[in-house]
Amino acid sequence: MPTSLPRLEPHRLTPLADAYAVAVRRKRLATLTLVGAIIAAAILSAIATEVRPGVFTDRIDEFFSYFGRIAVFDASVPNRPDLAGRPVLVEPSEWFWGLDKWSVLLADTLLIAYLGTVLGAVSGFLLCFATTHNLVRRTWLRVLVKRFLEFARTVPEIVFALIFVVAFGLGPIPGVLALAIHSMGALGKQFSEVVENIDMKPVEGVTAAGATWAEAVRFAVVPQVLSNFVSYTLLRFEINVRSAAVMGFVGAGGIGQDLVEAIRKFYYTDVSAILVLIILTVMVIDLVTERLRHALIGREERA
Amino acid sequence: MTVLTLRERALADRAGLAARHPEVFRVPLRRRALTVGVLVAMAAVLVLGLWRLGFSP
Repeated sequence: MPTSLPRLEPHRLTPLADAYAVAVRRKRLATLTLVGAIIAAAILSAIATEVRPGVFTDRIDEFFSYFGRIAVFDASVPNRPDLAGRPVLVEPSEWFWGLDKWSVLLADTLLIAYLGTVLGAVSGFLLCFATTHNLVRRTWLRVLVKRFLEFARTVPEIVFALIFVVAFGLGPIPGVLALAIHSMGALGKQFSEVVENIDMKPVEGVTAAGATWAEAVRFAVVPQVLSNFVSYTLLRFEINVRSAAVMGFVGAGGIGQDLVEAIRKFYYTDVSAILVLIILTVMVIDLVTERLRHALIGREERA
Repeated sequence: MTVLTLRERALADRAGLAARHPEVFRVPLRRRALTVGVLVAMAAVLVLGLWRLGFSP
């Protein structure tokens, strides 16, 4: 059946069209102002921080030549002058001459990440419930715990590591503590957001049946959030493995110590070998934890 | 007439409660073993890490 749209009279249509045109102009002006402000801020930041595109274009070759140097043997390989200038791939045994030592350091790096994640996750778990609007009525307690978690996650882990190196000396302990504190802040925030989005009916049910606050958390909150908590913790472990690899830069243990030493001493092939080991390890960890997380999320969605 | 709270009523009929909700009270042995195994493995790696990285009391 053909339909026809009613057409407004010109004396009613004109003011509406004018108002629409004014609204569109205002919207465009606001968008253009915002884009202009972002561009101006970027230019001002570049000037203030002395970011010069000319330097980037002039020296980009050096960046690529560094990667060229780490991909070939230099003349320093003991008893093998024939390898000088040849690609590292032709002689993996020479390239990975320190595999035993690096494997131990890599295992230490994984343990640092693991300990940091576990300690951070446990602390974040214990603190997250105190920051939620739906479970805690005392405002001062929520504010206090929230600010503490903010502090923990705002300070970068490398800064915490530097502080702990001063306090506890060189070694993996500062690295573990730094990762644990940062993970506590990050996971505490994520956990509390999960808890704030739970269904409150089970909580009301167990509370009505006489459960204490702790019992309500145990029997009505934790079952709803556990898979999400585990998923976030696995994600944090991935992040912590990467962070632990550079903790050694400030003397906080792991393979980062050998990596920074190789960089400073211009042992190019050692740099590439260690980087390959770190990248492979991170890839494996990413794949495994990703599968576990997806399995957990899938189980959650099916439930 | 004695008035029982929900909690007291539930505790007085634990057997009935377990029969009505077997998925909560009778978790399959395999699942329990898996949970315990994962927790034990995690604790073992934690202890190994503490020992290996030189944490001491």
